[in-house]
Amino acid sequence: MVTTEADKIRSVLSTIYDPEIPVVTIEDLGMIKNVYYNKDRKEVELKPTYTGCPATSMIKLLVRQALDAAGYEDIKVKISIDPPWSTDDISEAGKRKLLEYGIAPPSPTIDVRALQTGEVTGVECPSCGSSKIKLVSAYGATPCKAQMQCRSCLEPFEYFKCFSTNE
Amino acid sequence: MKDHSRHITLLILADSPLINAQRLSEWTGHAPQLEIDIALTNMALDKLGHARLLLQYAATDEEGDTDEDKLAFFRDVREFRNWNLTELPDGDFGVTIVRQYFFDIYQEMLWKQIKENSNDTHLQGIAARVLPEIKYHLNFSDMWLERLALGTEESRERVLNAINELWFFVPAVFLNTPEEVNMIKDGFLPDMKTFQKEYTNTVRQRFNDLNLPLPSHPVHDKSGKEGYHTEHLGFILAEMQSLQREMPGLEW
Repeated sequence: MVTTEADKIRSVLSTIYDPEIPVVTIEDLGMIKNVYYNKDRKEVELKPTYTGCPATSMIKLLVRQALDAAGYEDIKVKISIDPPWSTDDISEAGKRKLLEYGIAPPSPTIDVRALQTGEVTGVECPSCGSSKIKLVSAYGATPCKAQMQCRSCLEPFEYFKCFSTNE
Repeated sequence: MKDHSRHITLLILADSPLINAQRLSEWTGHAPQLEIDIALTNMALDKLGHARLLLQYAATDEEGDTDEDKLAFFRDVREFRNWNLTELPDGDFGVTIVRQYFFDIYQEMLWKQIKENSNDTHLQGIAARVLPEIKYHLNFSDMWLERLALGTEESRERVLNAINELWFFVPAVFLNTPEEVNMIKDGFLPDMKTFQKEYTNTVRQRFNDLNLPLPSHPVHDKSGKEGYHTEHLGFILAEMQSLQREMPGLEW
């Protein structure tokens, strides 16, 4: 099987970890939109996550540094918002890594209005697996996370907010 | 002469979240509870992100050398196109919540219309990005509106005062400026005038649930989108722009 340049570039990109959540890579998060490496086009297109996310600039810088170190100074790094990123783009491996780290991954069955009542369904405690979860706050340490607490083992944890664009 | 309608319309879309972000960030370290402090500052960051997307787009739409930073830091009051509602002082927490509620009901309607009906794919892309975040913001202000309205006598009184002061600035946002009229004709922007009734009904219905009145006093006929602002915007810009104006081009 032939490894193309694009494949090699993707494996360089998959070594870049999210600076805020250092257990998931930008590949896990689904931030790599496209990799072009041919005569006419040498580009990496990234999808930024949240609009105000301060880590986006950092990630762009890390991508630039990684590409340069691997000898790909000729590749342009572009940010593309079309189509927009959503939490659906996070890979299953990424969701597993989040859970192992203690952050509950986004749950598509959670209802934004449920954040109002404090009674959360569809989320499991990363420590004990219980689904009896209380919402502490819809806003956490970073704009992408909410604060929750397990009613069974009482451990507090963060929840990666579900942002699906299919609404 | 080049028609600047699209550029101005993008500034109209960008400036409201920008000024809203600036006001919300004033709560840093001063909110009634730590959780609220975190929420308001997170919301401010989201709004800033929305403004940045739109200012970046606006910058590419103009000839000459401009960028999101020049647009944010070197325009004066008359060139700002934010809804005057967003520049009003934070007041107490009740004022901030009512202001946010009025703003985000409108934002949700506006961006939903853009997402569904704009013929500009880039703007639709921005709509898809900002809508989920606006929903979280609206959830927050709606929830607090309910708690304050049905809370204590004092919280209710403060909410009533806030509504009386702020509603004055709301209806004018539905008046289209000449630039917006052009962009509506082009299919770039939805005609929000046709949604004014829906907006007022939505607010009125929610207020009925919470035993809150909608004022019937006369309202302002200037939204700020045309560049006519209250006395407050100058002070906001003086603080926001001071560093860049003192040392232009300064970077982290």
